[in-house]
Amino acid sequence: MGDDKNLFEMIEKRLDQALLPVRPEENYISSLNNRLFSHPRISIERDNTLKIILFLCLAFFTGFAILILINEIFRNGSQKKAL
Amino acid sequence: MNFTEHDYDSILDQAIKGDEEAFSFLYQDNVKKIYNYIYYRTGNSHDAEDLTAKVFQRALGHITKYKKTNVPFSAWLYRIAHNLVANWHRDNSRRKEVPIEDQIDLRVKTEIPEKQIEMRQEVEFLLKAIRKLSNDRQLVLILKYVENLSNKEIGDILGKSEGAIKSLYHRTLLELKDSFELPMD
Repeated sequence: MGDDKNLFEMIEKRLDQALLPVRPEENYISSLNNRLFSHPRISIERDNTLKIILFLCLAFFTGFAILILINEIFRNGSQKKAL
Repeated sequence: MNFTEHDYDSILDQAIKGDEEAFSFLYQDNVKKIYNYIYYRTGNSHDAEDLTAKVFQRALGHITKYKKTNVPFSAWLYRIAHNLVANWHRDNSRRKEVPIEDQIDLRVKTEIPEKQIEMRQEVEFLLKAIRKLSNDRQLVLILKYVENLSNKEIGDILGKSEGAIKSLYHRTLLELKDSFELPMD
C-alpha cells in the first residue's frame, strides 16, 4: 500500500516534469489570427459567353420548334374542315 | 483586462451571430490551450501549428451553428481538435514518431550532460507511454499538468463529474504504472 503510494507520487513527479506548457510563437498566433479573418481580395470571374450563346441557340430552336408544331396543328385542322 | 462569465457569454453570443471581432477574442483566449493539447498529442510543433490552424478554421466555419450549453466553449474546441488529431494519427499511422525535443532542452539546460541525457530519455519514455493511453486519459493528463486545471474544471470540459475525473485520473496512473517499469531513484 505504502509502496503504491510512493510509486504514484513518483509517477506524478515525472508527469510534472514531462508535461510542461509549451508556447507557440507569437508570430504564429498573430499570423493565424490575420489569416482567419482575411477575405480574398481577388475574385475569379468566369467567362460565360459560350454558355450564353448556347442558351440563346437552345431558346431559339425551341421557339422555332414550337412554332412549327402550332403551324402543323392549325394546318391539319383546316384540312379536316375542307374535307 | 478581466472578463466576467457574463462578458464571456455575451462575446460568445456575438461570435455565434458571426461577429469576427468576438471570434477573434475567443481565438486569443483558447489558441494556446488547443496548441498545447495538439502538441502533446502529435509530438511536434510543425503538426501542432498546422492542426491548430485547422481547428480554428473549422470552428469559425461552424460557429453560427454552435449551441450554447453549460459546457465551456473550450470543450467544443477540444472536441474539434480531438477529431482532427484522430484523423492525423490515422493518416500518419505508418509515419515514424518524432521525439519532442524543444521543451526538454529548456527544462534540463542547467543539468550536467549525463543527467541531461538520462532525464531526456525518461521524459521521452513517459511521453510515449502517455500517447498510448486512450484519448480521455491523455486529455485528463494534459489538462491537469499542462493547463493546471482542477478535477472539476476538467469534468466541465469532458462533461463528467468531479468524482468521475478523480477516478479516471487514478485509473490513468495505474495504467501508466503498468505500462512501463518506472526507474526508481
